[in-house]
Amino acid sequence: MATTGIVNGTDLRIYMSGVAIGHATSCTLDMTRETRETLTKDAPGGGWATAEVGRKSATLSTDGLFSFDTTNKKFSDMFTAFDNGTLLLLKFATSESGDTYWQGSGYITALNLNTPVEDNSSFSATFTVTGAVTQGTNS
Amino acid sequence: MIIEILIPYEAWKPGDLVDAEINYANALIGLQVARKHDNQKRIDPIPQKEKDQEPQKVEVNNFYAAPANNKKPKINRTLK
Repeated sequence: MATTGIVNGTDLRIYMSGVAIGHATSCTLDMTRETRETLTKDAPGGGWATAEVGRKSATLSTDGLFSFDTTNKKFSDMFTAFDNGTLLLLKFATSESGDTYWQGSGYITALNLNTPVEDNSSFSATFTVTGAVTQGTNS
Repeated sequence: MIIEILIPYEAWKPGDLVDAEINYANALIGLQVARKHDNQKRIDPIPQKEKDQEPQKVEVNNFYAAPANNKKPKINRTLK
């Protein structure tokens, strides 16, 4: 059943090749659209900047607690994909039917493992999307 | 969707609980690799910091840490 009301962030996860990233504590989808300035002497725009739309780009990023034995996607799975330059299917979604999701293909372009003394080990990963981000509905 | 792995598949073994994307989960269920788990709550147990143990009292026979003995030492003096 589709989620109603303000969505709890816990319910939205990044799925890497179909499986959630284990022990994630936050997930972010960033999309940007550049603009092309079109201000010229022939079209001064009344002094205001004018622009046309340019290229779009997107990244997904996640932070989490590090664990060797999660049955979801582990840091080692992300390292392998990072090392091999594997193109991954990435989906930002809940697991509820009828909810909207966003997905695209991308590469891991940054991976970080942080292990402070007497504190939780943690990781972060950034996925750079290549091609389009599409929006759909969970079946 | 939380699925329970039924047969060894990729790195998973039977009994593993996996949070799979809904279409992928349905594909694995269709292949009879997994079944939808009864409990759809998140499955990853959060790693807990080990509880600190009560520090054990250690008795050390330390001459320097012992309370000062204010009694003057008894000195035998022999007057000539």
